[in-house]
Amino acid sequence: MLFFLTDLLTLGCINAIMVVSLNVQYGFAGILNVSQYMYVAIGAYVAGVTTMGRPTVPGNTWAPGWTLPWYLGLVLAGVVASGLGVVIFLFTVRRLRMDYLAIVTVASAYIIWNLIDTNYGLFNGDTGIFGVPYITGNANLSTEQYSGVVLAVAAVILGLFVWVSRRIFRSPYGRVLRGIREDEVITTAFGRTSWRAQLWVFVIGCFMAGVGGGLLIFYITAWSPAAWLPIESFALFSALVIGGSGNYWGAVFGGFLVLEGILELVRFLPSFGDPAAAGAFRLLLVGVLLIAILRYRPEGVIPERWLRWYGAPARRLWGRLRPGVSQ
Amino acid sequence: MADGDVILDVRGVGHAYGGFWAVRECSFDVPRGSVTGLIGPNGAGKSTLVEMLSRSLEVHAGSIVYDGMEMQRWGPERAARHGVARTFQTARVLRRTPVIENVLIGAQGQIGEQPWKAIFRRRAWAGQEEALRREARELLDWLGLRDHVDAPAGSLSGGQRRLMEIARALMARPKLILLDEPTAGVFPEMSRLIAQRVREVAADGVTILLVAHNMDFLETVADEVVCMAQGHVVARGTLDAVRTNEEVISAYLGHGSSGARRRAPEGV
Repeated sequence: MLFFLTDLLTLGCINAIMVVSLNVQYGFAGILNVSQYMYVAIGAYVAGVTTMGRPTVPGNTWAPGWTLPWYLGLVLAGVVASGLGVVIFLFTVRRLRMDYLAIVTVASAYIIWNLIDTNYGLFNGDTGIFGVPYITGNANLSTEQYSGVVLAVAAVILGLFVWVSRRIFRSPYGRVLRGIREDEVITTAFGRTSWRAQLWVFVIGCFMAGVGGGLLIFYITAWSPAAWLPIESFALFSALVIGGSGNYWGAVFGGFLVLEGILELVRFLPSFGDPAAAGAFRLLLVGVLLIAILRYRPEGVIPERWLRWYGAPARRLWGRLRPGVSQ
Repeated sequence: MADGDVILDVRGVGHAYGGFWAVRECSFDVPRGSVTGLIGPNGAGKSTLVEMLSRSLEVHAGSIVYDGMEMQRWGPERAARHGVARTFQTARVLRRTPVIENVLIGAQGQIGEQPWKAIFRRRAWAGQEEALRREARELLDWLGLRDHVDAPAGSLSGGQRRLMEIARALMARPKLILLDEPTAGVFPEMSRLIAQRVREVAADGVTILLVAHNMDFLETVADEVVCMAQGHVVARGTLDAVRTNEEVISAYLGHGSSGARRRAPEGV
């Protein structure tokens, strides 16, 4: 039972990191990036191959096979993911808007997926990489204990990313991004070059996604193309929309509830018929939830609005409390 | 206003939609610190011209010299950075965003817009942000929007949105403001306030070019008017002089108007 809980929380934290990373791109800046899970995957691969050394089982190849400490692996995962992000950004986001952008980002994810799936030199093709050591090194830990360790690390990183999101949201930079999201004509008429402003938030989002992927591989110790079918990006999007796009707490909520909660909920269903039905049922449930949310609560469970006027009520109250000042 | 000091010189400018030249061979200049009205019947090309001057629309012919620089190839961002601020023909606001945040979009050169500083060096921009917020509040107060500072801009009425757009333009500390129909759909009380504020802004040395149909409004604000018809400038001068100009009258009434009907139509 304890393992069930820590496992749930650990994966929840990691998923929340991914949704938070999507939130800074789509929620804050309106960049319709439907390939976010690709950056997660790149992060996972990079974190794996830079920390686990060369393959020991014959017939497997991956590069570069370094044995860096796990935290450097995580940073590298973020850096490589954001580097790829810059390249893709300059080809796509800079030139395209909305639906076209969505199409091209999906296409980019399929291209990269196929490249990795069929090339064995880099990340061992469709077999994938495996045997990533625990971040605790050789200390003899049970799975429960290790789960707790990763949970602690993931929680700290999630907290850091939420803090970064909050800083962006409450800064003039966040304001300009929201302006671009809502009406680019206005921000352009007032001197802002959209793509320049969006580039950095895109890179930050890719970095977060890469780190999320790194954490995931340190936890599950293996990674292969089957784990990151481009369709997974839509799950991230569903989570963000249901949780509340634009609100970082909404993103955290979406990561825990949609990606983790529903999956675990399905586990308690009595098994019936085909064992694959549970997985299908999960997707079905997400779909139904998505439709219900879009119909009855289009801003998500925790709408952005709740953050927007954080200052106003507090200021009014303060004005009332201070003697001699009316507002 | 220094004599002969021109901030904007429009030289034979043209723009074609498909094969149709909405603005063609259009030339006039705008003295620094003046309020110039742009009038003309519907379809005369006034808004097309304003779009070109704000650099949102391509200039297909001629050149525009702004403050000594040829600006016809600039993008709108560059024009804004050089001190051209504008409002839109139909007011554009971020509906779900509080009014004050909308107005702050206008402010140029914000340190906190640099991503790194925004996230990691709050102290570098907090002071500027505080000052800008204060300035925005004062502007909104001055334009009679004191009670709406924290309300979402979507809750403002049409007239209030126009006032908010003016506040946003002023936040940019511009040299030239382009107002596209600032009084369209605004009730008289409020358009009087807008007229008064426009005069006060001009008195501070800011040049204003505005498109307007309301002659009472123009009478109070404009030093000079430029009348356009079918993409050309047909007359230019004080409002009274332009009103009695034959070409202007025929532009408004059509070419077949008889001598007996040769007076300005109601409101012109």
